[in-house]
Amino acid sequence: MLRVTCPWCGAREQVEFSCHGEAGIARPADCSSLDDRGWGEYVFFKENAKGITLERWEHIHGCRRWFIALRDNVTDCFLGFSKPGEDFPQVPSSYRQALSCASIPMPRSAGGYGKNDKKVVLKR
Amino acid sequence: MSFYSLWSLLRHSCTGHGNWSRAWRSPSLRSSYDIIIVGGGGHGLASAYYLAEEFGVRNVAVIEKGWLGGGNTGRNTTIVRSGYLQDASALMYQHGLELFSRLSSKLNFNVMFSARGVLQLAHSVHDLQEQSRRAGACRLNGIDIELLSVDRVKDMLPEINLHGRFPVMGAAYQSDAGNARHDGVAWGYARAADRLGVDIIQNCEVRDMLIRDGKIEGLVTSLGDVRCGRVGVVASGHSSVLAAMGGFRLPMTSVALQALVSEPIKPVLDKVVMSNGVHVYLSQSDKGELVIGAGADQYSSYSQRGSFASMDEILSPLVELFPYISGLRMLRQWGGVVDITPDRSPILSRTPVEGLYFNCGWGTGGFKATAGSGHVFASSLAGDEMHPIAAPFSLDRFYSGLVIDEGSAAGVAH
Repeated sequence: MLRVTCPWCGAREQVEFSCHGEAGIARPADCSSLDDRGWGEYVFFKENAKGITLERWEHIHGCRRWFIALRDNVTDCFLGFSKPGEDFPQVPSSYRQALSCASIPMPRSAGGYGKNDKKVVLKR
Repeated sequence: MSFYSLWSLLRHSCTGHGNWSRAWRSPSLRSSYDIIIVGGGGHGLASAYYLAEEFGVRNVAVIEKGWLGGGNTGRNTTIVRSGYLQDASALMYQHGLELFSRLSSKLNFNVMFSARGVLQLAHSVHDLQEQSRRAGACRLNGIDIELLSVDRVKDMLPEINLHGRFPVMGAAYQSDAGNARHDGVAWGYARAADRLGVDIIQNCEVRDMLIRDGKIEGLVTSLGDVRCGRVGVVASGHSSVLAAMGGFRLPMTSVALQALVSEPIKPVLDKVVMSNGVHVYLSQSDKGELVIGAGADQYSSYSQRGSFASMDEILSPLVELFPYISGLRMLRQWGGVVDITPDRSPILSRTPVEGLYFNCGWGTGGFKATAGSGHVFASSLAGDEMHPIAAPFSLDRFYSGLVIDEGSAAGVAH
């Protein structure tokens, strides 16, 4: 079973936690001017990136507080945790070195470069 | 490529079965195709087959990163049913079930479709009410769902324990549903498509898309660049990775879903049993193994490994429902990366890139739709216009709000 380190309670089993998906999704600043397409993008669409991702977790059967986890969803390794408001956790250099042998993309938010980052996002 | 028949079986038995030809070729990737299907699972191979067989497009390639049917096609619990609540889903899944029932003779390959009947157990008054509502909706769409009393459930499943922690109070029953051999479906479609001239390229990974002025022109693959008119991506859990190559996102989360099989035993169960309430699905394969489906993990993952917690969660209620299982050893356990959408309904859609189509989001229940999904997707690709059954499953529904909510209707068990 995976072990998750709650920044307040320490390492516990994964079943104590609830994963709430991608971190760092900001509510659109100017909601009143948002059209259906904008709302759809905000509410439903996700990066769902393969590789190292930042996620929001909640210690739902513990202290019930939320935190940020940095995790590689290909190996299921947790790489770091932070409390809300703190800086996002960084990928440990040892893991980064191990990854340089493999071809697992890293998102920009985690300080890495996805292989698609060079691409210009198409305008809808 | 030989035609399978009693005559061919007799003829080859005279020579000790040493001269059977390969079921499909291993062609090299050509420089251009009219249509390329990305993903050599059941849905992708079915799409290619119907393109060539029914819609007259034979200059088609199927590109597969691994081996045929090695993803979720080979990792599911093989259940084929169509009892879905919403009209759009009912049409889609019933289309698949009807094609499944004639598939073996159509493909000249035994996909071992067995309409043995599927029971969905009810454990509470709420379950009974929900099933009654769904059965009514299904009957209006021509899908025969019957409501069974507890006594009839016991008649059909003599081994069941009705009085567990969550007592069995009845069941919804679809008699023309059942299961099929998952590998056989992939192989049958591959062989039939190959006979019609479709190039099936295995061990070929798509690395990027060639897009000019918002229109797809080709793919960059591990075996070189290839040009094409249209592309149909059928990549289940990895769809978001391919969407990123096209420069857009999908409403989708990839999670691990796992299943396990027991050691083979003598025939003990001739139905498929599901329970949304305690989250169980169970059937017995022709080899005698009990095939057990577990729940999806609660966190995203591309690992193709399920968590121990999910395995534990399925086996405890299962042992309570069927106490004889407690003495069985589990032979194999595996996980697949499934693509879960917010409304638990698939996506068959155009994309912001012209000529690029996606067929994904089947989540935890795509096997049953393999034939139907392939058929309507092939029609959409060939005609450059979404098939009427596929049309409601467009990406546009996440902007308009016309979502097809099967999350509550199908519950956790698909």
